[in-house]
Amino acid sequence: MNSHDVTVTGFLVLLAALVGTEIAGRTGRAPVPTFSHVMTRIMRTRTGRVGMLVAWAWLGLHFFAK
Amino acid sequence: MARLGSDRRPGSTSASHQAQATTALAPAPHGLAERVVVIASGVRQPIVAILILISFFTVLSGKPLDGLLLVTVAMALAWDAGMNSRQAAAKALAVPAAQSGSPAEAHAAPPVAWRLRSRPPRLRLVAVGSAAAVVYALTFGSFTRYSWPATAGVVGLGASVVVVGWGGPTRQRQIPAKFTRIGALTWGTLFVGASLWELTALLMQPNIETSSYAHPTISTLTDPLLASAPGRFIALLGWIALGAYLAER
Repeated sequence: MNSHDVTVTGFLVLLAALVGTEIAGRTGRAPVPTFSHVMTRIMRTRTGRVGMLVAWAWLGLHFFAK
Repeated sequence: MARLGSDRRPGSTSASHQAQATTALAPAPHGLAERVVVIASGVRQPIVAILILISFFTVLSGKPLDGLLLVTVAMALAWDAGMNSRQAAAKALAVPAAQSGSPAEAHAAPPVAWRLRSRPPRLRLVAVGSAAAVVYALTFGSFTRYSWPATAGVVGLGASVVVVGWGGPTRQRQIPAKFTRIGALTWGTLFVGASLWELTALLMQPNIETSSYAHPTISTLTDPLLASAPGRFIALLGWIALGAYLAER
């Protein structure tokens, strides 16, 4: 396994952990909130709301804009 | 759960009375030093700190304009958060807590600029929005990455959504109660872990502007997908869907 595979595996493990946490939150098997609850909680203030939306806009800028 | 985003609008009696009272209680900052203190208190907000970090790395990766835009919004947010804290503190001193609510609640519920919906969007509106998203993704996905038309499309939509977000939520929603320690720790660990993994890959590149096969970042891994028009169409649709999801929070 070379360093490329290690890096990609790391991303896949993180993705699997995110999906697993979401499933655990939705099924109630673990005392963790769902992703939707986390976002709603973060975005309850103007700082959180605008901050998240700017982060989203930055994603578009990063991948598509000059 | 606390319900935020009632039918209160800026022009309504209760909101304007509250705004007048708050303005009267909180003295405006005087001089550069006091303004810097207001911004510094707002920078402590995690979101503001994260935006500043992103802008720093964006500038390092050769996109100074993006970095400038991000740091401008971060400073505006820091100012807003700092002024809110200042007003909440002044209000807490002047009005008994039992009558006015806690400063945290005052900070958590800024005035809303939009007429709030109480239901999800109508099916017809969803259909029109979806069709518009497909047309948008087809149009701007047909342009190559980093071209001026693609830049204009992304900047236009991104800025519009941020401006709408500054005005507050567009629908009434239930705000979840504070999470358990394990819940906050789980999501926090995942977000921080993902950020650190991406940052490690970025720093292991030959330099910050040259991608590496051995240590690919998410950008490097998505390059093959975004090289083709169908790939850009799918990615733009996903980006719009994520934006719509966040705008509904």
